[in-house]
Amino acid sequence: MNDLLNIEDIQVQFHVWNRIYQAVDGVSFTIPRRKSVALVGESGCGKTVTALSIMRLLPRPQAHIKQGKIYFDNQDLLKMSLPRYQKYYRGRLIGMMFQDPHSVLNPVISIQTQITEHVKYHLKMKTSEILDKANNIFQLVNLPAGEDILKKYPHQLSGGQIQRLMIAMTLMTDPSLIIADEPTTALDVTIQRQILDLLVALKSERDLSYLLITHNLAIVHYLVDIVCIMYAGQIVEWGPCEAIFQEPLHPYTRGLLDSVLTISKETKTKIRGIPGMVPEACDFPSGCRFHPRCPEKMNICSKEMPMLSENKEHAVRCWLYG
Amino acid sequence: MAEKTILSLHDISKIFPLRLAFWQKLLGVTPRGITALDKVSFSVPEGSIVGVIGESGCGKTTLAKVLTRLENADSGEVYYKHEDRNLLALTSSEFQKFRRRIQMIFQNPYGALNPRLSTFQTLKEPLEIYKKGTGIEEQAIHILNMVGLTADYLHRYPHEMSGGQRQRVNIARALTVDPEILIADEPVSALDVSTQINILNLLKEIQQKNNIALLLITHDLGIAKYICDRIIVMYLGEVVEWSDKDTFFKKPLHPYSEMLIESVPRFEDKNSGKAGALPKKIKPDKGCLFAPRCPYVISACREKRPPLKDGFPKVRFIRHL
Repeated sequence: MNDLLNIEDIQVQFHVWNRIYQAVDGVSFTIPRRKSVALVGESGCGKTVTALSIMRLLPRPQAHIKQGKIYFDNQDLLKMSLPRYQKYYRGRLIGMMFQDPHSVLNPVISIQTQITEHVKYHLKMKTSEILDKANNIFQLVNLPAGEDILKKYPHQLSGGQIQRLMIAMTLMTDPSLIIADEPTTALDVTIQRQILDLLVALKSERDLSYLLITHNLAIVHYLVDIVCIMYAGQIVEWGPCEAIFQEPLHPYTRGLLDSVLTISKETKTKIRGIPGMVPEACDFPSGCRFHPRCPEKMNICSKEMPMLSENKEHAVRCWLYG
Repeated sequence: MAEKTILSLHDISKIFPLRLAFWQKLLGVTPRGITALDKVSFSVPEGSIVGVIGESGCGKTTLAKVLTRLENADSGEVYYKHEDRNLLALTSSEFQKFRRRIQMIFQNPYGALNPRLSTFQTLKEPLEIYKKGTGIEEQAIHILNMVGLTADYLHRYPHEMSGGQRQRVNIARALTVDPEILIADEPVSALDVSTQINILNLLKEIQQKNNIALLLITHDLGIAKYICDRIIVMYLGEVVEWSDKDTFFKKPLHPYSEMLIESVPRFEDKNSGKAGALPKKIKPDKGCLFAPRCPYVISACREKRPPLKDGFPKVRFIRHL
């Protein structure tokens, strides 16, 4: 195996009030080296839970990984001891960017302290070396270098600056995979664009892979090579980015693409979108989980669950193609 | 203009003063303020959808709050239809009469509903106040049906509903009193893409069926293009462009509008819209507010604040290449 990350048939369950919520149900995908993958779906489809299980940040004791394996560089992340995982993987080789950076940083500690604390935990570096490196990386992400930013506190930075700072902090430990959970949702359109351009530039410059988690398909193709569409805890379609955009197979993917409002889209006609809502994770419908909302439902759809097709390039979980 | 206007705004200004420290008061420092609205004027035609767009901090939300009198403006006038009374100058009891005509839908569907009231209780209150009479439950069910919910939802609490459903209840609550203008402050930005479309379709449907005017505040140009008839672009508290939708998206006049349109990600073309770095927002002391970020800046821009041009579409600039 020469893939960076390899997820095999992972199942995550939440036990809340004696009910079992199957948040992730048999998700498998791989991130090849220097390639990026996006998990796309509505809220409640299990994309964040998948990311959290890679980070081993699932809330305990409610959640547990029932089965499945996660390999990073051929190391089984789930079997590894937690201290080892924390020191060498989480925040070191696997960086994470969250949706709301303001709630990630401590508001009463200066940025310099937060950066040095983070780096010292993972790497043997002197404070002066860390600050030099920070200044270099600040230039890379277009933040003003020098003490300008380092001496400040999170509330003194604007939304765009703080998102750049988060990227810089993630890069401090030279990760090879960055998990980005809705990295631009909280930002303005103009800033959003700058952050996307920055992430694209970093990707080639630093040999990074991204695992992008988002519900907005419009930003996906800037960053990503492979797209996995998730629905109700399962992957319903995956394939290379161009294929997903040009010939989406699953009715859900088509609905999602249809729902994205872009300014180049002709708006004379009414967009239908996807009717209905995501089913609860404790009460999935029988058969194909999408069938109650599907415009192309057939008889078999409510009876048997379709399997993900075996196609190595572009797989889909739908009876239309079974 | 030949069309009937439902709401016209004239030179609305709002400055949030910064509080001074005690020693600053002693020294007689003149208090500075943050200009949230700077002489905003436009009108909303009857039965149309007007989109107000701009980056965060441009005063969009303050505008909504001023119009619903949740915030008091420093100066300016708002006229409703042909009434010759300035809405902003009315006392709050006089304004009550207009409250039912102007309703607001808030951004965050989770925060806007009282978690301890069921849908019925939420809808009952305005119905009892404004529509004295019997059959409140039937009326509530009728309104729920209008927003695409069934009678089952009447006795549910907010935590038992998804984000999209809560936003529907929010819209239902605004509709209980038969408003003639709805002010929606980012009504879908907290929702999923697929839900967004459903809510937008619903708003448009209601707007057409009841002939309500809608003032939609958004930062998403895609949404504005999908449902609005008119577009108003705001920058640092002032209106920089006021145009109708088709002209705006085909040929934006103000350099700022141009930048906004270019920076929107679109998935047809990977290399589209490389807007480059929009420089940081700085507020100059004089001259055009946009001059520090403008690619077409000339020396005259830094001297004088350009006025909003007469005619339509209106735009605020000195020279444009």
